[in-house]
Amino acid sequence: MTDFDTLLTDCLDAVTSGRLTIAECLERYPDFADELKPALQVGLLTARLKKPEMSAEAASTLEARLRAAMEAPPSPPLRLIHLPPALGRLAAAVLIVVALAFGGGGLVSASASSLPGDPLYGLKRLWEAIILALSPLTGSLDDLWLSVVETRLDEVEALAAADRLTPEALDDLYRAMAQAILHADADSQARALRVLAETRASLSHAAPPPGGETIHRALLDWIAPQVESGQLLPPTSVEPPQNIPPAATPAGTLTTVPMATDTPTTPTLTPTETLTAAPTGTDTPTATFTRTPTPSRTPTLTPTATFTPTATPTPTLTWTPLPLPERPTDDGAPTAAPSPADQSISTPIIIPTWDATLRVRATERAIQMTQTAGPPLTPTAGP
Amino acid sequence: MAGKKQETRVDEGRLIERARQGDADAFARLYRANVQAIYRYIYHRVNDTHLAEDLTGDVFVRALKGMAAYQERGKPFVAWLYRIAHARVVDYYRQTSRRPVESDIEIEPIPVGADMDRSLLRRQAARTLREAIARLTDEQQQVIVLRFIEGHSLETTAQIMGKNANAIKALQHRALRALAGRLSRAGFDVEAILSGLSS
Repeated sequence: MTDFDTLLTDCLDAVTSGRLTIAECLERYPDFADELKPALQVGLLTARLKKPEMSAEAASTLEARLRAAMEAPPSPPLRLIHLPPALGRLAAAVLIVVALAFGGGGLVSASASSLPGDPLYGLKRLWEAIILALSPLTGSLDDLWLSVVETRLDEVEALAAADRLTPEALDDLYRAMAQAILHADADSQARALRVLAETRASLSHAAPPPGGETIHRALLDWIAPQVESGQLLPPTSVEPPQNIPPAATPAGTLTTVPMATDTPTTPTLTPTETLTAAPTGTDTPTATFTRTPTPSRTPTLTPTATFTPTATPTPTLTWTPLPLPERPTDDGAPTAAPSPADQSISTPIIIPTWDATLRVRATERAIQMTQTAGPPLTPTAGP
Repeated sequence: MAGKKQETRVDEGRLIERARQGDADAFARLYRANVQAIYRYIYHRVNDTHLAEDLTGDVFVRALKGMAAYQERGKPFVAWLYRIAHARVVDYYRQTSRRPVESDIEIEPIPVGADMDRSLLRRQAARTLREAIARLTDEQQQVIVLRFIEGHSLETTAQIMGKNANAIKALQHRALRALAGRLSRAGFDVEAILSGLSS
């Protein structure tokens, strides 16, 4: 900013408010008159022109649309399959128990640090989907989606560090962020802004992957004003903007054929480059409840202990929030994740009772304790 | 004056709180109080009536979805709406691969004379100015619309654009210089138009 910028601002305010005329301003600052005059004239003309207005009909129609949206029942929570809510949750709960009982708990933990393209990554996303589907039993959707954003961000950082970052990973980050912001409320806003600031810092340091320039730019353009203003901005769409392939022009070679006669020369355009459409949009594999745990665990399951139920299973559904898979620690290793070698130990899982206070880490500890042939667990052997 | 402004802010705060709790009437009042400003802002960015109406609708739908997360931070509600509108316009240009061309405009000369119909002169001048504004850079467009079309103070403009006042002063200077240059190169006589409008 220069002194002239301030002087111009003062003159503009005086002229547009009618306190001074342009001529009076120029008289006050004769040394700057040449530069002041056109700027003041354009500013004044712009301020004097009639302001366009949205037609009354369009404004009324939009208001009616907004009222209808407000008065409509809230949209149902995200669900992977369309079952009645209670049945859906029960099905998911059963799936979790079965998955954990057949060694899935270890797999889920092992998958926590997987990256897109890794064999266990699908399981990681399936687990996430289950956790989200079980909201609010597993936690509020705003917190859950923010955790998903953090997970996606970890993946983007890891992929970028390994030079494996893809547009699809950025698309997934965008989708998770859109959901997180749409579900955010006043309580989760501070956390959301912190996550956005982290995302901005990470993306600023990560070069966009080939073909991912649009989504990379879109993410930064969307995040920056939110971080700077401290105010969340709802996304335009929950789907990421499609990557637009760079405008390619077919390179041609114009060759003229010299002719000895009077025959007109004919320019020939020889394309040397073929235009190919860049892939647009990416599909994220959709996880469903019908997926079964990795079958390789089942054949090795050899019971070595007998379990006598001590209580009649009573699905009382005294649920407590189910945490997402543990985020990796600073050294990148997932916490509480048994090593693959440990998982091969085939010992039946002893579930003490059907007091279904399902906590993933508690169950994992139970698995590990069982695998080390410890004493039978009792219902009080929790964390 | 300051008391009145404060009172308005208090009323707005109450409306926001009610709207956050799902009160459709409260949101409708916020909508009516701000829809024309948002429409004008978008209209000057895209220079198309129907598109501006559509995008204005998108802005308020997004605002409605985001109400639960909205927190008053000493800024007017419209500042948040402007930010959503700005993001929507940027998004529109990205999605359609269209960009306002930062180039000179070609205009029909506007004959300014004593017999010139003032309303016709005003319309022609407005159209030319809109075309010229639409060719400025993104930030230059914003500052011109907020400062001179909406008449916001330097401080409010700075809040809306997320910049400090000094940055807005410098940006405003560059924007006016660029606009004046484009109009001049196109043969648009600003002084004569201003005289014609005043006479």
